[in-house]
Amino acid sequence: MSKRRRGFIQILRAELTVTWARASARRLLRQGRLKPHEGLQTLVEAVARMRGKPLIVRYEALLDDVSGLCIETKTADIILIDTAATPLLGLQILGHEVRHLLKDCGNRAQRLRRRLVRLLERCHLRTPRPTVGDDQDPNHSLLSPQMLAGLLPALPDSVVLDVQERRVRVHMRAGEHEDLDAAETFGTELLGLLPLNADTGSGAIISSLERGTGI
Amino acid sequence: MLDAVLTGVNLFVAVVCAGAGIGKAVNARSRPGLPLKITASVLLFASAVYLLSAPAVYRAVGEAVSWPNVASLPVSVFILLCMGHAHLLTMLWHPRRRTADALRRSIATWAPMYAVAVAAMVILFVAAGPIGPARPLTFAVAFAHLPWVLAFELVFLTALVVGIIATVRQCRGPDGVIALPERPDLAHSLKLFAAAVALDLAYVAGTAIAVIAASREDHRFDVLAAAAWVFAGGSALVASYGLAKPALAARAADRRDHQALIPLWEAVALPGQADPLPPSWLNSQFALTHIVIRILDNIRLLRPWTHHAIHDLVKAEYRMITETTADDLEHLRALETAAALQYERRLRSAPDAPRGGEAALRRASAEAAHGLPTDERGYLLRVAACVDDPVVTAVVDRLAPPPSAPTPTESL
Repeated sequence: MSKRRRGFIQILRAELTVTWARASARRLLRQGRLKPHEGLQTLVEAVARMRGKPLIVRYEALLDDVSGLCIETKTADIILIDTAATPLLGLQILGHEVRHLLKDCGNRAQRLRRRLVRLLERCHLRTPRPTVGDDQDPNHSLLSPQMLAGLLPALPDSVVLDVQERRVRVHMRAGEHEDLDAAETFGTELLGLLPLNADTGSGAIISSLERGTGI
Repeated sequence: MLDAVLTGVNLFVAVVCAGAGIGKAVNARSRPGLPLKITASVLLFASAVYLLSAPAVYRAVGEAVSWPNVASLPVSVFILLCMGHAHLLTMLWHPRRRTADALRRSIATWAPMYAVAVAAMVILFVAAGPIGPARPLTFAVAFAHLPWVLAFELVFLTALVVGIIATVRQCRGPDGVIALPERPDLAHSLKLFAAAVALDLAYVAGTAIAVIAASREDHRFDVLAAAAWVFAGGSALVASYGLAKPALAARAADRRDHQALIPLWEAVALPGQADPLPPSWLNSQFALTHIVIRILDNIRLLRPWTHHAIHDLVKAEYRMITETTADDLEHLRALETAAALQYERRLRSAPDAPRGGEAALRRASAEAAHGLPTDERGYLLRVAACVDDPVVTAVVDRLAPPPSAPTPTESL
């Protein structure tokens, strides 16, 4: 790891950047009324309710480079997590993919802003920037059905049919993400909010004095 | 000069309490739960007490509303509310008495006491009117000869001592809130909190003696009121430290573990990969989680080879180097994983180095760390501690000798 000493201003700037990125992730959780402290199952069910379709989470053997996939079909959202991932890494991958599903959440002002940005880009009045789920971002690419069939050794038949008949939105967690990539930040922040420790009966004390969540 | 010193001391206490309170309040935004909100609130109220008590601020508030000693009312009310918060916290914390019914009964019993006391204090203070001149920190003894002020102080001190005794009783004995044998670290923080509440008894005693004497125009005991304020300040600092200590200790542990994981990251980092976030004070848990995830990602990519040959070699080298047998299975597993990772790293750096034979079993990295997600931090720390272990170096040298070393006769 680089042993270059950082100046105070650099350290402060880095800390504030991370704090801002984390705050964006928590804001998204609040806007979606998602409550990680109530547990992972509750969170997954809340996301499914928000999306209006089931959210299926499965462990499958994926290619080396791909640790997670999120497939948005009309009938269900499917998140695949590589079987070689440890339990903690699996939770990170799940959080990362959930962030892709939440990309359209936000208040009315933010949705209007996104529509305005897309309109400006279509009229060539604004340079498009890679965003989560955008074709230009190699780590969050849309996949063609041919690529998808090659990546996945096993998928439910209905999903394969859906993918083969029409192009569906697929996100993958692969390669190297920027440190503060929105989906990675969301996954990491979510890990810090999930109650991974079993409650020992002194939960009220822990919540006052300690974090009680995270690793 | 004395005013400046007292202002400085009060503002210092206010800043400490505010810092701890703001930290708790920020956490409460994403970790809902009444105990955490009450904890944040009590620290912020305490901060307000010391801010308003600072002589410069006290006088400024009095001048702003043309009521020289008006700040004494919120200071006294906030002190009582702080005690109410502490009382409520001990009810919420009690592991055995915090059923919904018991809580409802306790609140129904005690809330009216605090509410009536606050209402009476406001009425008596307003009835006393805008008396002057401003007497920061000595309002009680300076004006105790006035009946309304004396009544105000007696109601305040009586309600406060009742609250203190009720709160301390919740903490005492084997069934008390601070009896937490399974978590000695938290029990220590709770003891500090209970001690802080008990220190307020000294504040009540000193103030009561001085006020009663002053009501008879006897000011020999005014110094007790000053000493009492010192006890109150000490109480606020001890309470802030007790409530913030576990969170500060957790941050320090996060940074320490982050530093300890850096050698493991360097062992698994692929060429050209950017480093993870460095250790942080402000975002310590996030930065630690980030490096843990990056390490796990790379371990998943490396899919390190672990098989019986590495296991046997590690045991043999351990016996040779330490002249004892490895009894600690967790340490042994950590040595094996570190050896497998360093072996993979040696192979990456020398592509033509001899690789294992067909008998090698490629085990998924998920098997290296089974159990709860919370076990993985400890597991990676054990592996990180073994990365440069002489046993690991000896095993890797035998499996894949450095280019300058002679080819070993033994192979996988």
